Amino acid sequence: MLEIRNITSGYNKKTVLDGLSLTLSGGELTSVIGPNGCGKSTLLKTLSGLIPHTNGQILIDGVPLNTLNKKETATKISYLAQEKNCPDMTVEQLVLHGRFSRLGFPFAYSDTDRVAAEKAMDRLGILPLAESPLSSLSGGTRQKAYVAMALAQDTDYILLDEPAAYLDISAQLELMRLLKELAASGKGIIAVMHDLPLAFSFSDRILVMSDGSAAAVGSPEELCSSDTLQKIFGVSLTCDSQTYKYVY
Amino acid sequence: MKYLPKHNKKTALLYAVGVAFAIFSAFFGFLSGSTEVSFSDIFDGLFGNSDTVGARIFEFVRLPRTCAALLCGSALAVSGAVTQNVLNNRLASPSIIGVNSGAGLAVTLCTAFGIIGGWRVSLFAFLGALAAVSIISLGARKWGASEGTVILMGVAMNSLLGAVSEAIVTLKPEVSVFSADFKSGDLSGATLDRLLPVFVIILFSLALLILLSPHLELLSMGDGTATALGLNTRLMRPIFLVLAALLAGSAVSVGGLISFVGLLVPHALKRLAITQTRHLIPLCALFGAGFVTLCDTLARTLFAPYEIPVGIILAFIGAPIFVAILIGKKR
Repeated sequence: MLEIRNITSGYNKKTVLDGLSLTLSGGELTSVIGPNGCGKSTLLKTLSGLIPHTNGQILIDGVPLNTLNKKETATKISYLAQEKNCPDMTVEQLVLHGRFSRLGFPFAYSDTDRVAAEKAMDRLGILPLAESPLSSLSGGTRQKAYVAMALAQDTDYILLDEPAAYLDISAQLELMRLLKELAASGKGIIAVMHDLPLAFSFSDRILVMSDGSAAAVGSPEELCSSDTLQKIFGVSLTCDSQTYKYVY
Repeated sequence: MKYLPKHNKKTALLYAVGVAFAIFSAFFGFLSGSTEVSFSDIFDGLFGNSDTVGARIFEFVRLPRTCAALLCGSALAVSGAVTQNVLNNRLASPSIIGVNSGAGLAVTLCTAFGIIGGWRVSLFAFLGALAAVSIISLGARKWGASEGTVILMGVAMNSLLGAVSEAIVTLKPEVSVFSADFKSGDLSGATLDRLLPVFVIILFSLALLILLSPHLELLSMGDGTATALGLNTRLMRPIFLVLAALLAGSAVSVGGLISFVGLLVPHALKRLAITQTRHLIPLCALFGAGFVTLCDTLARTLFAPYEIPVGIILAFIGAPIFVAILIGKKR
């Protein structure tokens, strides 16, 4: 269980998250939505230990996040940033680096790591591209390679900042199904989403953020029937057999 | 499910070619020159039986010089590969971002103050290289500089450090003779005694870099991703910058401002699909060593009895190859 207790976080002297409290369980796909600049990405960076929280507490299965070192954090939480580099490496190398936190002396990946990487690539359908350089791939396929890297990391919690960006609609649906499957297998998935119908159609829970704090948390059904979306985004959604559509 | 392959045949072939290239270049260096040196002279020189002129020339002139070229080439090529990864910038190399100039200024200062050789010159060259690479790295991180901006910062750094060196030469004219050779790269002053600390530093740096190659690769993925994967970037980045500076500083203290190798060799190997840093580092060392040694031998034999600075030959051969690589990449 990921418990966020009244945290404050931000960059330099600028506070972005202010007094946010939330509990996220394993086995759930939680989508984080909210207007630009409301602190969605900052929340994921804080939860993954990339930026420190100045107040409050983050507990991962009862252990305070700020007592873990980088490697220990990386064995519990994987994080995919919104902006990612295109380093000079192959898909296989990138995915293998998902196993970095498990790497011991003399820092060479084992056959177990290779099998984990291969399974992750297979699950994303990119195994035939294992030896292709990242620079030769389309933005969408590169995104899949990064998701495979997060899968290979094999953590209880996976945080993804706009994972559906750069993906065509079929790839977006494929990815959301995969995230749903991962959640069903017991992992806690937290994804920042901009596409509200996509988020509502696949998520177990939705966190609506506004001005650095949680405006609302609930199931897609609960939020769809409330006026939160109208207040925050100026739109609402309709639901037809668990598929959501915008109402402008 | 089949395990992913750990190595491929192309990498193994490149290792074989790299070793052969370095050995060929070394023997080409041993055997070429105005005085004939035979294989038996090399054998005699190596085992301390220097009775003949050829054996003495081999032992006291060509062996130290060839070793210096091998060491400088490997150090600069590896330093280039490391700098490119750490700064996450394909255009970075010790000569372009001002690292060589930093080391060069330190060596010029040493000469001005009467320190000509030995470990003190290597130490100051390292400190000069480290200062330059630290400024560029801090600047790049602080201002989130793009690839192009980092290079422009390097250009500014090169100009500034070059100006300071020139000022020293103007104020201390006795440094100027040394300075002219130094700026274009000059391996003629090498002795085995002076090379020993450099050899140890390069060997140590190479071993550490090969060991820490996954860490180096992670840095090229950007700080955010690398940290999320478990890398302590605040610790590892300075370690790699110190190693890059050690390599560049060592090379500059022996051979002067030899440019192009740190840019050309890593690019050429990456063009041949060598993406794994664990292989890129030793291959850079092999090909860098072979390339500089070959160029140095050409520099002293092409227009014999006149000798031209190795940097000129490196630029003549390296520039067209580098342009060809860039054009090939665009296609």
